[in-house]
Amino acid sequence: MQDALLIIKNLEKGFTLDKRSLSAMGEKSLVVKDVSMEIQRGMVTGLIGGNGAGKTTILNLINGLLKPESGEIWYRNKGKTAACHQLPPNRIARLGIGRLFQGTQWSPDLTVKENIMLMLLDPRLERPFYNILRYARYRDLAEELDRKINERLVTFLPYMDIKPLLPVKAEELSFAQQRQLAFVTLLISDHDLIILDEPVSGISEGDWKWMGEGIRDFVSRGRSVLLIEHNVDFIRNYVDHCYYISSGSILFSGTTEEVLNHPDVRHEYLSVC
Amino acid sequence: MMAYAFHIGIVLMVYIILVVSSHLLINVSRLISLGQAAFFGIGAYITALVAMGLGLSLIPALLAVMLVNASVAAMLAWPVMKLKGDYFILATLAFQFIVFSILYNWTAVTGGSLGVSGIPAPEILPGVVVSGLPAFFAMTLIITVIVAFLFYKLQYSYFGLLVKAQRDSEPAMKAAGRDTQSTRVYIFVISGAFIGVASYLYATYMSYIHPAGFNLEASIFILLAVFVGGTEKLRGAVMGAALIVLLPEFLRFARIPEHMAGHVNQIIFGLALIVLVIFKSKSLKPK
Amino acid sequence: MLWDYLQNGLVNGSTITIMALGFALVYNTFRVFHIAYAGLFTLAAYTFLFLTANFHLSVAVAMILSIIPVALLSWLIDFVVYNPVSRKGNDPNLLMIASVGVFIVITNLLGLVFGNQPRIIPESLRTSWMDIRLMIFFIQTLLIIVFAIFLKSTVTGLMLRAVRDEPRLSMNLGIPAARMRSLVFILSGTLVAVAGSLQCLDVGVNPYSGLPLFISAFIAMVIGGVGRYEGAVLGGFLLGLIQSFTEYFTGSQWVVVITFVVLLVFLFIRPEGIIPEKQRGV
Repeated sequence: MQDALLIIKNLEKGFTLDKRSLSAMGEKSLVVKDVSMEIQRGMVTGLIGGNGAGKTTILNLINGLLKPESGEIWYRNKGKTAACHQLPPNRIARLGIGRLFQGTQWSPDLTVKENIMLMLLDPRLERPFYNILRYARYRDLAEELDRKINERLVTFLPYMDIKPLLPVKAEELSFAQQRQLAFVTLLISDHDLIILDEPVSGISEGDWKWMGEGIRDFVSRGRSVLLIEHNVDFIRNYVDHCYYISSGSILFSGTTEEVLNHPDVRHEYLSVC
Repeated sequence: MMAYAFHIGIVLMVYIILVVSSHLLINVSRLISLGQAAFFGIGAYITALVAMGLGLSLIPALLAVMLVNASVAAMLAWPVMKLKGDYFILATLAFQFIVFSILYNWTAVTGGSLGVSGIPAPEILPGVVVSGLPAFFAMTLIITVIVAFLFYKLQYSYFGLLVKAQRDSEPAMKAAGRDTQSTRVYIFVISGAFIGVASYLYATYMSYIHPAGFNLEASIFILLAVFVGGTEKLRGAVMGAALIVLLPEFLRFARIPEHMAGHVNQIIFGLALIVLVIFKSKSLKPK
Repeated sequence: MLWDYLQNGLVNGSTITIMALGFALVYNTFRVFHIAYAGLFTLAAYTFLFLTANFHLSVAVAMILSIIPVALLSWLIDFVVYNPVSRKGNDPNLLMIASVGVFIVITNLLGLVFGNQPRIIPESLRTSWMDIRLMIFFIQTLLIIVFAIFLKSTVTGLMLRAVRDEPRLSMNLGIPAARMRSLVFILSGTLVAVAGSLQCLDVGVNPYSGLPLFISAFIAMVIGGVGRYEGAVLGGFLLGLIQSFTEYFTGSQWVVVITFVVLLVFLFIRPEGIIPEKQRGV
């Protein structure tokens, strides 16, 4: 398929437990073994499997937080191709790949608005000299952000009233609130691919439904989502294509319906969850 | 009496610049550096060089000192910033000892244990010399206010947000497109460069410098002054500097015998630190 | 001539090794950057000086008696400072700052009591049936061997290694965490008491004599390999020899520079040290 946004070929990653004993054995313990995947435009791709199967490791490899031992990750967008397996994480992010982490990812000291700014605004501003020169326009940045929120957040306002939370420090929010806000921030971002690590774990059914709708709306504009999730109802309703992963290898893939109905998955995975 | 007040004021402001320059590095991004006095020393010797050897006036001399300090910091920062936690502390400690040793032992260039004397008072413009305590005090005050203002702006700017955020969650900031390594290098370089300003004021005020002023103890005291403030707020750091400078003076008025005053002063400081860490550690807690 | 420097290197190496082992015991188990350890060294040296000069005790008795206040203070520092602070789940850097505070207090109290001048013990005590430096070397090497046997072959040593490897897990295994903590600090205090006393016997003491040796010990631990006691021993003797030969070839003023250059080389090229620690988990 030539329309894939992200192509992963034969990815491998190992963690050495004891260097000397391993060199004696001449073998590596691989957490990710020969993984190949494709993430299509306009689709929600799911990565499912038991705990410790290597799902989060794969996400970290895509983000560049970990470097693979071998294998390639290609990102094709707007006529350009980038080799993610060779880039540092900040460069990968600037290609238009966003990430929701499993725990909280926000700085507790900063306000919600400041945290959102850090996720959304121009990374050039991290340069102090540029910053001092542009300081007078700090207020402009805040206004730009307000505009973005006003334009893009309207659909979420009935579910989550963000505006009163903006001046609140992140540490005063609940865990679920922080994660939902980070999630919403990714949805209103300019990213073309967002990677979500268990976006709806610990979140009530009423809430995950609007989050799922948000994801559908996001991909309907030709963008893509890759997610890890354990909530089977959520997967069934909002994920198009699934990869089932076990002990670091992809056992099979297909449409969500096919994968969830596969006898092995039903036996090994669904019975556990 | 007035002269004494001016003297204390000038020393205090030199310390304020040292502490304010180290605040973002040590208090906000929690990179504990034990090499701050080494930058102070390099700056002071460069001041002696450009003021005596080249006869530069205030602004070119300040720029030269800051440039040299920034370059040294940048050369050190690239490898050192890859190190985490205790290894970073250790590398800065190594830097401190190496610089001190060079200042002390490279007699041909630095004068070794004799120090360097006869550093001239600054010239605001070629020919216009700052002479007399009140004039020097006024100049120091203006420079200190400018430096403190710049650091205040920096800390509460977008860059300051980034520094806090990456301290709390570095992977998240990387995944949001931030080059966290460069940010740390910037902080380190800015800190080194502005310590150069303190060096310039110190060297031209004292007109005599000696390696002993830039030893590990001096580094530890800068670290402690930054820390005693106890918060991430800049004014806390300024209060720390005030404590460092004023406590010995206070002890002198309290008629503590001369030979004991130094020890008593340091014991009070050490206890303050311990108590601060034990009782205030909640507010200094990382994520 | 060269032989003298080799001998010097071995004596200094054994002192650095003892310090490195004692520090590593604390650092590996609790990740405390225990700078106050340098203060404990100085305290040991002054206690030894006090006992020999004022009470005319013999070297052996004074050395053993000096263990008591040092081990006690070591335990007290943990009980009052490290343990409460670390239990709040704080940044390890904070512990280091507190430790700097403790170090400053100890050093200056000693300076206040004994004065800033270097002091040496009475010459009459320094005569012995064998060369004093050789004796120091043998005592310290013996202590290192005893410590190694203790770690490898006693149940308590095994528990200490378990705490080092898996602090949380070991508590679930029923290892008495509080008692282990006390043991670690008392043991490391004992080690530094011996090193401090013998150093005082050899060259005397001043309030600041602990810090350079402490820094050497920490560097020895890093170049040997953090997390492994074998590393501390290897690094300690290696560094002692490097320092001694640097002195032979370039003169004493460059010893500090070379020491730190060695450290930087290791930090950038082989940060895991000569004997790397087993990496645990992910």
